[in-house]
Amino acid sequence: MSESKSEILPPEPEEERSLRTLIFISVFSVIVLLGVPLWFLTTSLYRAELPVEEINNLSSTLKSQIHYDIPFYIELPKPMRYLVLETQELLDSKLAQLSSEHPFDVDYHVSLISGPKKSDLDYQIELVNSEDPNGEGLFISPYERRIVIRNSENVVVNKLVPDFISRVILDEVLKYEISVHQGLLTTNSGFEIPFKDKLKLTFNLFKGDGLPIDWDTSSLERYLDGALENFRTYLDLRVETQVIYFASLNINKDNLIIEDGQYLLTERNLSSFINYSDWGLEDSTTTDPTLNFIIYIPSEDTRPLKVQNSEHNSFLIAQYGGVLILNDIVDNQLSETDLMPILDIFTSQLYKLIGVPEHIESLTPKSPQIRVDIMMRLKIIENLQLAVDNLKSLITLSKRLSTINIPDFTIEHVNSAIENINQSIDKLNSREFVDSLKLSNEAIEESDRAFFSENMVQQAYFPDEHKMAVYLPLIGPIVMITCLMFLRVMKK
Amino acid sequence: MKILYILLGILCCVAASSNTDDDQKSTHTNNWAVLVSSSRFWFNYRHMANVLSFYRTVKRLGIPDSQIILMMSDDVACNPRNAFPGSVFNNKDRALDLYGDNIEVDYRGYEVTVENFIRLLTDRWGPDHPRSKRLLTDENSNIFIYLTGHGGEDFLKFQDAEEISSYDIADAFQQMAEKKRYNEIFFMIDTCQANTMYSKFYSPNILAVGSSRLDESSYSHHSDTELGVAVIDRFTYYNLEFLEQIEKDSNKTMADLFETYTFEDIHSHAGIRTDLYNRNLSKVLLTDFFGNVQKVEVGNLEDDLLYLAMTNEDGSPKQFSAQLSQHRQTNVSSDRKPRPLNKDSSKENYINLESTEPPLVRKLLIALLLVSTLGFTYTLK
Repeated sequence: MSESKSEILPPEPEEERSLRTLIFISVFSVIVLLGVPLWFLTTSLYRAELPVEEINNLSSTLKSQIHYDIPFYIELPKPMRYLVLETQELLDSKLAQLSSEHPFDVDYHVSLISGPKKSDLDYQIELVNSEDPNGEGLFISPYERRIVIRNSENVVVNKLVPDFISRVILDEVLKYEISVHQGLLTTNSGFEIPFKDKLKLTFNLFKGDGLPIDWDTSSLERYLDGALENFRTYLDLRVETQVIYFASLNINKDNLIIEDGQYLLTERNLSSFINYSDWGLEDSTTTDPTLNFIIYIPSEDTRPLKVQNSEHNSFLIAQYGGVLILNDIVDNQLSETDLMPILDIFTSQLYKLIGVPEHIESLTPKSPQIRVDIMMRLKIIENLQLAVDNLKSLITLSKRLSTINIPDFTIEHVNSAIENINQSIDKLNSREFVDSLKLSNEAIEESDRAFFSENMVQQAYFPDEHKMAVYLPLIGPIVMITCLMFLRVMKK
Repeated sequence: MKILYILLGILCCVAASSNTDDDQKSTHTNNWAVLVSSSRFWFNYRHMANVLSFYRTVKRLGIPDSQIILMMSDDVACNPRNAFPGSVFNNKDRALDLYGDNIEVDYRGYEVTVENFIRLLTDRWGPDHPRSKRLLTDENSNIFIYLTGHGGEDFLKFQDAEEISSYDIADAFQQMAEKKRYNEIFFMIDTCQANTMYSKFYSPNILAVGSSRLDESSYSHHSDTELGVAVIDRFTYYNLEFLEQIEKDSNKTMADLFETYTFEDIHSHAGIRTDLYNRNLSKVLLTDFFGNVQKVEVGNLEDDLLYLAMTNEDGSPKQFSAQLSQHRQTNVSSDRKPRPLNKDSSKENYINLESTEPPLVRKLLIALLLVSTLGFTYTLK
């Protein structure tokens, strides 16, 4: 073969042959040293290592790591101090008994501590003796965290004081919390907004007509200060107010039922009462949860407007806010005395929307403080569970979708979420409930950031034939040329 | 052993009966809609009309604009070829201008991409992505997703540049399910071979309908001779025809809607996928997806909470740890008087209790700006 070729072409000079070899080697090395790594770099996915083991561990041991107790302070004269010990023993055995009936999800205790309370956030029990032999009684103050137990002769003589105290604590004050831990109740009412440590409240005065109205904003502020006081320890609150005129009714007047000369809003109407597009309630600047409270004053032609079956002419919209319809206003103004009952209704709605358990006889006490405390403590555990669930779903996701990126950024947030969870558990176990709640919220946010990481977008699906279509024209010519060159070099 | 079986049977019965009770009502508390027209250019007028018609419908039935994500190229209303500038019609009678009032397009023009669509569903955005362009759903949200455009087997073309496959959407839904980002999804797609697009779904609680089978085309309904283009697709047209009769408080169900799908009308075989969906279709209200019916409670108010918050046990007024009025004033600089409340109530009076940033920062910024301008003019010389 080579002989017949040499007849047509003159033999290649030596230097040209070495040049050809040089060209081949350089082309080949460019492909291997530059092309292949470049191809590999641009097509490979970066998948950082998730701390799978740690998260699974945390998920299985979360509830067992939590063991918190609620302190109750009791001040007693020295000779009666033995009562503390006896009551504590009784409390422990009663809780153990309850736990054996329906096991608690976490290790939960109540401790009775002799001495005055350390801060306003602690519970104080006071023992009082009654003159009347059968005059035993109980007063859980709705104003502050104070419980007054009045013992009568009968109780003292029969040595029932520890029993009385423990019954008050477990059956009157903490019953709801215990039932939730036992799994007999759920905290979810379907009305409350998802927990976040920031909350925006808007108070809106809507008028159907254009007659000017004045509302006493300084007393509104004062009422709000009071209404929000119990949430200030852990919520970052922002309040906005607005007045809007000509806020037209979202429901056609002709569709309203007229009864006794009143326009009636039935339950069907209520769910579409809010006029989202016209009432300026939308806020695109914040992603924090928002609750809207609306005072609606209908125009002359739809007055009086009544909410069916509502004593206070008001209603509550799940996860959104509260509405109150006001038909009678005097002198076109809302004074301090007018605002008081309105704000009372809104406060009640606010409690429900935030998720404070309702006051039910012998389940929850009337005291708003104690109920808010109970909600806070239960929220901590819910938040921790949620944060861990978020991390778990991140793991399942990364396992299931093999073409998804996992950047280092995600790992950072995962680690910080885990740290927050651990710290929150520590704080909870050492009775620092407010800090624990904040940390548990931080844990949720961090785990969300990890899950919703901007760079974690899956590559679009490519069918195999598409890959062929991309690679063939690209690789085909290169492979052909290098192969032919290689053959020629080898021949010589 | 027998007793065990009997017990098991009873248990099953109880479970089943409680299940049917739950079937009756949807448990969602909010509604969202994602409406996407994935095509572009004048000749795809009908896709824009499709999507705007649904936009109008869901808005009419009460979903607020902040909960509607509208994605479309938006290049027909003001197209030079449009004989009716600024208007989009979905019928040759031109009775209803879809572009008429208050259209809020969230993603327009070249923002309509596969990546943005996937990011939207999975909510993976940078920190400064605006709220109005995000799908901020939670476990209580029902989502209606409508896609229209040009598609084929297992893909939908996005603006002649790229395509999304059925696998991508299925995976995105799975990510949403994993993160509890929805209660139920109603997926509707009007494109050629549309039924292939939902065939790869594997996440729970998704109800899907498509306009046409594999190897079938979806057809347009009719053309407007003055516009010179088809104005609406058949499948969408007949859906809308039914939905037009629906009011906010309608009791019509999904089953009622699906019964109206006939080959004579649509000219292709509309597909319905229910295997991922647990509820009985004749119990699923259309307003569960197209409307925004909120859970409402009348009455059941607790008294005296405000009074308790305002007063001490002895009846004296309580002192509060934080005060809104103080809060507002402290944000205003000390050398200026606190802003008086706007007593002139003839105007809209919007009191923001949070004030803007302190003036010190502003002064510094102005100083910085001045210095940099001076420096810049100096270097120019």
